[in-house]
Amino acid sequence: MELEGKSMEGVGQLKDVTLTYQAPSGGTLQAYTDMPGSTLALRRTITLPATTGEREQKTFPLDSPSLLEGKLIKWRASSAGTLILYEGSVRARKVGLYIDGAAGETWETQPLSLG
Amino acid sequence: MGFEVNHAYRKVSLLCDLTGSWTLEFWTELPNGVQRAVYSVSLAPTTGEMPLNIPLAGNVQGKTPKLRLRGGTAARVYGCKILAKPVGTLGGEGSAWVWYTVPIEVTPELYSRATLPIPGTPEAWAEAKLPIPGTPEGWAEAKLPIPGTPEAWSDVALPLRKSDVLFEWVDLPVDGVE
Repeated sequence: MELEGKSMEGVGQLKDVTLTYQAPSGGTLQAYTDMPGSTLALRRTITLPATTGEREQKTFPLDSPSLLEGKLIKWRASSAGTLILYEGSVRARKVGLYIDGAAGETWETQPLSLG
Repeated sequence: MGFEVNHAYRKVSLLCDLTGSWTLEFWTELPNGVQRAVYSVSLAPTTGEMPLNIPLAGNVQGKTPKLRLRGGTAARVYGCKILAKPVGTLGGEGSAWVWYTVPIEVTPELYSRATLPIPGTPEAWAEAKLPIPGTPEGWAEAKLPIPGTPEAWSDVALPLRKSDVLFEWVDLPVDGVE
């Protein structure tokens, strides 16, 4: 099951993801982003623990070892058994200034007039 | 709108997260009136987001400073300030050092929550009928499979076989009689 990609204006940082789901056999949640390197690639693989109830809500961190970053984000959920996703959300923020040196970017201000 | 005043520059403060080594250049138009990098410093990688206080050389002056950050990896800059004070004005220097904020788009401290595109599943249950054909409340009449019996009688011949032999006279021989 793929959840359509989300485009963020600027570079977004993702703190954690919260899912409400039912998966008696457990499952896997994969996060794809386009950073670093400007290519959409697998950046995180999260193991979804098996559930015993119908709707169980769990939060999974995305800030270890570093914050998950990207302009484009895509999610993919799978399971060897049944996986029902009821709802989900992600905590994110936009970085004010992100310089991708690998893409040849530099940061250069205009001449500043301090008055 | 302000007039451009000559300033002396002492420090640059960066709140940043550097992956790999980066170089910060401080540009001014003094001396000679041509913009150039008058100070350059190499910045080591940081461990996550942290402030960096970068002292400049003591003779960095100019009216229109400029900063340039270059490197080969990723850098996230959350804030930038320059410590400066006006110089060279008539009547001597009475000004104090002031932190000037370099305009950078603010990165919020808090994360906002965005929902994933998962179609909603209602908490309440909806009623759906099972595909069972209906049973009418009233009763319908149905005939039993008994063949009909006619009211009138009909003739039926008995099964008697006809005899083709007729009776005929036969002389009986009696003794003594001619």
